[in-house]
Amino acid sequence: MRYSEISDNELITQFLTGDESGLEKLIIRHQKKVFTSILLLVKDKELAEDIFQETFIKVINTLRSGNYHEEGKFLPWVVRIGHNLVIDYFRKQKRMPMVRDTDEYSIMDTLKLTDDNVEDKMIITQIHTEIRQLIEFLPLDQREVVIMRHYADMSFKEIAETTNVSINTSLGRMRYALINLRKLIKEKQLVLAK
Amino acid sequence: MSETSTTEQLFLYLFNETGLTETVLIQHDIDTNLETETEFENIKMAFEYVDKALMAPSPQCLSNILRYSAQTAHKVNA
Repeated sequence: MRYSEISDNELITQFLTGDESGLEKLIIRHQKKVFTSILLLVKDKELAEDIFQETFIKVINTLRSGNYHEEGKFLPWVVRIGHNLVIDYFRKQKRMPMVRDTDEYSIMDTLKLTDDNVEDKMIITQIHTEIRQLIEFLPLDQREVVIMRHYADMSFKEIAETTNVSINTSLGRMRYALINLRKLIKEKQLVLAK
Repeated sequence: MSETSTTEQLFLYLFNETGLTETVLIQHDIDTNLETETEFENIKMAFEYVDKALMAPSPQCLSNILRYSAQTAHKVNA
């Protein structure tokens, strides 16, 4: 059976029966989405790597303790663990990122304030880095919904429950996130390479 | 006359979170309403950009995690 055909649950079973390669395959399969989800929240690669490792340590311990009951939803579960660790980190730092009262704030105001920084960073030619930075400019609540829906494959209902808002609010935040992203992409004239 | 789908409805449709009836209605709206089709294509394009932001951690991270797992495996088996 090819690796791509083995389900997450089968890899978990492999791991729990003593085959460490099951864990390795799981991490390799999901590492980009889990890591990027954390990175876009903390905006610091080293910190994101620390939290990424902590996340999977929790995953390992929970799997081994027999307390994993998310069959078919491994990735959303892991991303939620990472998300909670990020929140814990911000709390310890007494530094909760500002959440806008209104989704209608102007992303272009933020861009102007940090324009010098953005200009320095735009020296980097890799478009992936530029796009990641654009996502980082989004307010936390908008970033969260993009991360959870698009990377973690959580439903809008699950996102609403995780972030303690209504489904309509989650959908609204996604709408504003995309409006803001489109403005930024147009402002920076980013074009995806074919 | 059918109503134009909202952006929020298009999100739900894109991510397969609509019921059967709503799916059919939205698909019809996309097929027959240029404004809706354009909005839907814009949404899909925005997510193509989001896809490009994916980044892997350094290989050392994976090594550290696997080392932890190996070192603690014996405690479970003991």
